[in-house]
Amino acid sequence: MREKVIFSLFAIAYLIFIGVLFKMQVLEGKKYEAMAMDNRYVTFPINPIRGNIYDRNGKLLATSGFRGRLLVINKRDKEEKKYIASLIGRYTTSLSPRSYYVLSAREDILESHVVVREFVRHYPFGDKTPHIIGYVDAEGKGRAGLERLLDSLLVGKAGTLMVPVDARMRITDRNFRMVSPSKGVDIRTTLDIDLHAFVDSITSGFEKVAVVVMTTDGEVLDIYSRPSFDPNLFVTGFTTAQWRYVNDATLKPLMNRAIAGRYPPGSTFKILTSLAAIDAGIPWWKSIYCRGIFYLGRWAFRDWDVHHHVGSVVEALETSCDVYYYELAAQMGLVKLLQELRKSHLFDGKFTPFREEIRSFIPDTAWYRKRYGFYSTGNAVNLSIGQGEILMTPIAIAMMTGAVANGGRMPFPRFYEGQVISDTLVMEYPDSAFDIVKRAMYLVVNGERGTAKYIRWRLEMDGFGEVKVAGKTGSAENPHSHKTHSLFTAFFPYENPRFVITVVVESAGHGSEAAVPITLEIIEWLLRHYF
Amino acid sequence: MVIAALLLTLIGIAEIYTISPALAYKQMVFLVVALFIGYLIKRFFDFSYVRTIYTPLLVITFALLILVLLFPSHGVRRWIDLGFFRFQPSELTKLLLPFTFYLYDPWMYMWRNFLVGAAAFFLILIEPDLGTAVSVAFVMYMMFFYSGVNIFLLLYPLFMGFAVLFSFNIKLFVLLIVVMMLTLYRLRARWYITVLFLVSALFLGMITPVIWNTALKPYQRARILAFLNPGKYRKSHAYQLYQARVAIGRGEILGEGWNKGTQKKYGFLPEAHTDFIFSSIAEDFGFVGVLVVLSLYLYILLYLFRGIMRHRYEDHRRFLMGVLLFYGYSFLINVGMNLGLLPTKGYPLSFVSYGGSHLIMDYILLFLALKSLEKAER
Repeated sequence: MREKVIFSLFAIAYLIFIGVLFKMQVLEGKKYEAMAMDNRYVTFPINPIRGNIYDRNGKLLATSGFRGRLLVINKRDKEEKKYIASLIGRYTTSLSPRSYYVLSAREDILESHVVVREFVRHYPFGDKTPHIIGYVDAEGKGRAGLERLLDSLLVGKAGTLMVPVDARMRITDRNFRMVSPSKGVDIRTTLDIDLHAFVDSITSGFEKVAVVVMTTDGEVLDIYSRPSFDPNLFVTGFTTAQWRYVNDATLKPLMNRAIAGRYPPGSTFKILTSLAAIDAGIPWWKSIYCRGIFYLGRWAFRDWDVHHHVGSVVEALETSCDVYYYELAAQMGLVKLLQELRKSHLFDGKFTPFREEIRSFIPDTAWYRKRYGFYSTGNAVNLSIGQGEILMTPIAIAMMTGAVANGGRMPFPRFYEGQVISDTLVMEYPDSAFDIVKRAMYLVVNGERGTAKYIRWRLEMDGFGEVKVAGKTGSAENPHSHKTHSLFTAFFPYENPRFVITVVVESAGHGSEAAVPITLEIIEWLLRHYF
Repeated sequence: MVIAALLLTLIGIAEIYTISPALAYKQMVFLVVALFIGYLIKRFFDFSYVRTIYTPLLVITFALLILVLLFPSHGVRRWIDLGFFRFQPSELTKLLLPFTFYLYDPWMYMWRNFLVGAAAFFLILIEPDLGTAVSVAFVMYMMFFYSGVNIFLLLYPLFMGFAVLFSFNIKLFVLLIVVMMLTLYRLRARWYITVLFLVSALFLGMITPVIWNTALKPYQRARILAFLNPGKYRKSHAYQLYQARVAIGRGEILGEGWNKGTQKKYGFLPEAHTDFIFSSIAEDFGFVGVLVVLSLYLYILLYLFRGIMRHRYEDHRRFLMGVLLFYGYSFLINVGMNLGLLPTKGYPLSFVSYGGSHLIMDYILLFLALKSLEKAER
């Protein structure tokens, strides 16, 4: 009896063992198989080659440079670390091409390391690379500009390398299992790197510059922002001085001023005020006599010059007469002016797909009430010449100019081939308004009293006399400097507009002092290369 | 039965060969020695000699057990180094205990048996070799049960052990008390026995958590905890357990094939030739292979069991039961440990694991059992 009890103890154990083994081996075998593979193989991700970025002429703006990398299987193998250090000078997992060749020749005798090739981002143009290309970080992830925007296309598909190891983390054989990575997609941009380099050379005398050059169709030829930085540093690493430079609070080299720099538009805004006033039915044909000062109740608003007789809004824009615009604004009042300005849709949102872009800002009555407790015609008078609270990005000013050139349709910017533009914004002003403003902008350059006569004069001198340019200067007062920002925005040729150019030079004086000559050089460059 | 044992050993040698051919050759030598000794036993041994050799055996066993304590070899007080092979004196208890049962009925000579067992248990325990020590305790306990010792004497240590285990969980502890009281009621225990059980259990239940937190060394606690929760200690204490489970599981139905299992080949499975040889076999030969091994074991146990059932002499029955218990314990503990059902105690799988002492001793017991069964017919 008792022996039966004892034997049945073992028999039951036998049955339990069989049951457990059946569950583990037959039912859950696959799970344990995976766990065994996890033991047997150390898996490393293999980064794919990132897609190249080209300019419109096929020049490489961003490519991939070759480098080696050491995959560390066993961190504790001091012997081998010493051996590697003796071969390449010092122990590091990131290998220069030379170190890579040195080590890969001896790969078979390495027990705790695997040598693989790796591709890292390289920007051949260094700090001449346009800001909108952006940069990648040390891990190869797009962090700004197109690199971030198109990261999912550029990045490709990572592969894996499985290295067979034993329990002491030594490589047992060379039968690596490899899933090859696939290269990212190449991107062809609309940018012209030659133009970029040219803009860089002609703006070298200034500290902070933003330039937008685009076609009236919206193809962006160049977006230039000075000061610039070398995106390669984000891959290779910074020195302390370089790090301090890119993080400089006043220079802000990382900021793309053309889309993220907000400036008071100054007199360039008069383009929009004119359109608004004409649309509002204010008599734009009336002449005034400008004494250089305008009184609204007890407030006096100064003009930058005494313009004497100003025949109409056309002449007002040509001479950039502030008093005329004060008059228009005073007649409209703030509510009407803001209502008319909104029809431009310039302040509705962003123009580019970049996250870096900052929206232009125009206050509304609620904002005024919140800020000052009241609003009045005085705000409108200030607003009419692009001063006060209004802030615009250079790209928005370019949009405004392009819309006038196109008769209302904004040239939504395109940066790369295949970019889908879903928005089409049209300014809701009558065609006649655009004709009037276009004529006025033509006179700014070509008129007797125009503020940018320099351009016509130089074009005639340089043999481009038949090319007619239209534009508007601007001198934006700003709190940062006693000198105004120098702005100029233009389109040309006048009869059949093809290009829009907007130049903002910070703290460089009047529009005609810095921005106009820069624009002229760009126009002549474009005439040499695109006509 | 000899064929079943030989098959097991040959499977073991084949498996050891994949880990280290040199060890496999040594194991073959051990097998030849074991079979030679077995032949001598079969040819010349008679159970009438037991009384003559018992006292020398007893003296030698304890002398050696004390000797290993005094002269450690390789830092562990477990083996006696004889140059070509390391002898493990605790294996002698496998011979000593069945002979003791043969000569002295545990029912009649309870204290004598108990003293021999307890002395061996403690000497082995402080080596320290928990697995073997527990094997002695297990065999003694089952043997007392087999020979019909007072049931309360057997139940008392059992319930007290559970009281210690369950003292950390009040629900389990209450359940234990209820089960204990019901069992005592069913067995019609006297009132003072019931009181003794109850008081002892409650006392242990209170004192154990205190001891746990103060007296036990951290590594001891860690080892117990690792058994209770294997997944959490993947790279530390439960590493062996985890890797054994992986090796067994990935064997699936037909196994990876001989010499193809990566778990043991590349050293992930520790002790693959000794304590964890079962996992190694499971990886190479899968569910089918494991089924064969377990069934061979059950066959040996069944053969001994049937021998016990029909043997005409009471003393031979006790001897055979001793043998059966040693084999059964090895089967129970080693396979249970490989499957992660029992804690890793480090006990070889009889006939299969690498190791000269235990292989030879297993065969000696086997042939003694065969010799005993010659006069079986009732």
